[in-house]
Amino acid sequence: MTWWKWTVRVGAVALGATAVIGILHMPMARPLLAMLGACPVKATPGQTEIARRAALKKLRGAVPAPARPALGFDLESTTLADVQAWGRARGIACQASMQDTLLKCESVPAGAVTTRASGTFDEVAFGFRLADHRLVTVTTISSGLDVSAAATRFTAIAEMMEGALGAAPTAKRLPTTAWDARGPVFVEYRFVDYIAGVSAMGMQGRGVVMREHYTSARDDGDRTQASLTVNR
Amino acid sequence: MSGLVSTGVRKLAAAAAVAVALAAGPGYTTAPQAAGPEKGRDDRGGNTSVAARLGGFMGIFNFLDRFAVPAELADPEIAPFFANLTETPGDIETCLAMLLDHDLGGSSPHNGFIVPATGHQCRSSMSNIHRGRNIPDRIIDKFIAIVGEQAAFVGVADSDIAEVAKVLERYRGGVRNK
Repeated sequence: MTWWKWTVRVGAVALGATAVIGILHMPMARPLLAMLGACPVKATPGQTEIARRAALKKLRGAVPAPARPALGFDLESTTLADVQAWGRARGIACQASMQDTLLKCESVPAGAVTTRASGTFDEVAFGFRLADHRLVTVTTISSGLDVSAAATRFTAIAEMMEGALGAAPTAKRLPTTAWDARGPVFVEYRFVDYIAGVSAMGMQGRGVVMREHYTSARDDGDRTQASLTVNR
Repeated sequence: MSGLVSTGVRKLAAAAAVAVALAAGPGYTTAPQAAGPEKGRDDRGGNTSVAARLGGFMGIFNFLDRFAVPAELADPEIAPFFANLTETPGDIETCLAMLLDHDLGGSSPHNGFIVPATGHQCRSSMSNIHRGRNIPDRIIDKFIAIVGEQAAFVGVADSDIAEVAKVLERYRGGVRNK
């Protein structure tokens, strides 16, 4: 066999391998990629859950929460199917990923969730436990807000949290009338079984960015271990 | 069949490695020193930089380790980027602490440091580090917002948080949609 035939064959194999790797990274093929041992670009849902559990050990407080509000959803009770049905009923575009442990919904009107805020959230992200796909965390993010709108929205959310969780958050820095968004404002509650907060800060070219988070901080290690076993 | 078994073993081993790394951390007792003639200043004496006010590498690392990175990992969108197979959160904490210390006027090297616990080498190119991850602006917004809120949580001054945010913003172009 001549040298150029080998060159063509090696080139074809390299091209084929590149194409296969590329195809495996397309959204439709990612479950297959996960089955094959996962892409090094992102963690698997199991690894993410382990990381989340370790993180919560560092974040959680000492006393149980008086309530665990999460924009009208029930932490550790609401399922992925429940949230998908909620989105469909309101015409909200949601996309699941990470083996259905993450659901991201775009342009969510404040009226679609339980909040005192008004306007639209750029995105609401729902995190689900791998073992049973029950909701464990809800976050919102909005950018491009002006200072006045951000202060109004922040205050409404902070008041709502105070009504449900009490007037003594773990820490807070509230917007004053002179707040110009150059420094962040935040309210953070950390209980042994629940962490929640809202923050806002100005970012270069992005306006004021506001983020809310509502997280179950219960140690669900047994369920995680079970899910890792199931997903081997 | 053996392929399936090895896939399972690999997954478990990777998960175990993440758990061990998360539990152990890089384990610094003193700030790692720059290999070359970096700024050559003791962050705790005579340096009035933002990095010095934040406690130099050790202060920034401890802040990332105890507050910022756990808060990032608690976010369902950001966590997958922190817990991948090739870098542990401890690696990222170390390299990010060095980068922030360096860019905020401290004595850490900008890149090239090898994390003792894992052998991971801090890299300089944000584009290379984030290539293939397709990280959108919104995720970067979240990342910076979490760092900012956690810095405020531990009592860092607004002006210093603004400087930290400015440093992180400088890297947005190298991180976004690579």
